Amino acid sequence: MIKKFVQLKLPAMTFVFILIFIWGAISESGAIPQFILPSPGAIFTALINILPVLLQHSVTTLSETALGLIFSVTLAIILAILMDRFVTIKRAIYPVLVVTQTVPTIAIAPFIVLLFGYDMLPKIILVVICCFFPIAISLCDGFSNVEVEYLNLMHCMNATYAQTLVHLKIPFAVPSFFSGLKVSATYAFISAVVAEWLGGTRGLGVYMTRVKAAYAFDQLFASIFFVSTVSLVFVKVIEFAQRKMLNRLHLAGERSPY
Amino acid sequence: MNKVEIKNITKSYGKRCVLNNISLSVKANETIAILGQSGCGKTTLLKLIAGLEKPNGGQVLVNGVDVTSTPGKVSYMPQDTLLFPYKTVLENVTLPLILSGKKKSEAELHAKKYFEEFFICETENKYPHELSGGMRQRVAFLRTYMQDNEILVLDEPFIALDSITKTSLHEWYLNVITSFKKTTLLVTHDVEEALLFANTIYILSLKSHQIVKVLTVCNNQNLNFLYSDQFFKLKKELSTALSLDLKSC
Repeated sequence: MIKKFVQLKLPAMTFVFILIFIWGAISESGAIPQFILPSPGAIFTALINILPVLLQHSVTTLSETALGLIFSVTLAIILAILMDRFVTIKRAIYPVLVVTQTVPTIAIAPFIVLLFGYDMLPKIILVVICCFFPIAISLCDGFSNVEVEYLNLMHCMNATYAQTLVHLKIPFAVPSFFSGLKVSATYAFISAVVAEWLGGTRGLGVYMTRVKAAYAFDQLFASIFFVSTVSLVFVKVIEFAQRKMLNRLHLAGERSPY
Repeated sequence: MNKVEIKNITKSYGKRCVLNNISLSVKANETIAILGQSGCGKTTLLKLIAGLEKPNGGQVLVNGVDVTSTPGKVSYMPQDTLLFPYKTVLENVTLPLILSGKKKSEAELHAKKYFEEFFICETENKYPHELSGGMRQRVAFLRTYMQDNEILVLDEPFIALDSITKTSLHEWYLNVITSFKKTTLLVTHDVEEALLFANTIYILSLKSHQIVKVLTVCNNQNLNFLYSDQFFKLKKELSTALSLDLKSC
């Protein structure tokens, strides 16, 4: 247990500790003014002070993230099935989806806000735009990567497409689905925060723009740390669900356990 | 009337010929074995019979009806057991029945009747990875039998087993052949297996990809046959034919 911890976690922890130490040294040396680069200690104190406010704002951001992810998953499942079932749809949509991902979120966010106003809707739409693609593509790949021998077997048992989907493709695509969902989850929370930068009354992004305008950089760094932590928790929750699901389906590790 | 008839089947992948003008027929309740070296086209032939591949020429007839490239007309058991790892034994076995529209309870009731005969009692709630190789094979067999076709197409069903498990499964399978009386096409590269189960043995050549020898076997399908003079004589004959074919390549 200790050996495993030393091998796996200690290098990363040491590296982070060194970075914090360098940061603190630069901040304390006065090379950069402390109000621009506050020391790690000052950021930690600010975090403790503003934690209740951050928690209040995070409710809005988390709601946008969760709703965005739910819509993304629903849309991705529908589109992945359509792409798997109809090759023409796949040929038409798949390349377009890839191209849309090269457009930076920050560039399209103002346009979406302009179209849909400053409520929750534009933020949810932005989360959907960012998260939907990895889930749809990985799910579609999961469907098409099912072993041909299994598909042959289903053909021999006169299975319809719907039956093949339910009994074969969906269970085998679960690992791919979770890979996509994990990528999306890392984007989701950050996308909601970015969308909030552009306007609104509540949310962590709104709070960050306010503290930035007030030159309270210790609070800004504290907010960034908080956003990263929540994002990480989000990913960990999905990883936990992934482990549970793969164990339940006996698909953990190898595709087939024997 | 022949149950299965294969007429002048030819199959190529690009310029590579895999099957060259193959014709054979199988009568009702008969077991035939297609014997040959690895790469001679045995599995391709079975896939063509199962409707999973399209031939370049020729026909596959089942009960006199052309079923070329039509899956689902015969029960097919692939080389690998291909049990679904996320389904229990009972769920795996009842899958063909569920897919054919049977209610879950009906399908389970029907399948459970065969658990004893297939020596898989008390495994119904287990998952495939909890079973031994022999058990998994028997479950795969039962799933194939549940497809409810008169014709079985088995692709090297005993290939992945150790010799002890294989021997015990051979013994068990002889009982299954007697009880179920299905028309069976078996692909194997094991001479003893072919002699034990098949009424007719076809040797598929690795060189010409044609059938180069047809052998009729009588009074087999029992373990005593393995110790008879006829068995040793036929085994020698088949082994010679196979090794000559290999040398000619």
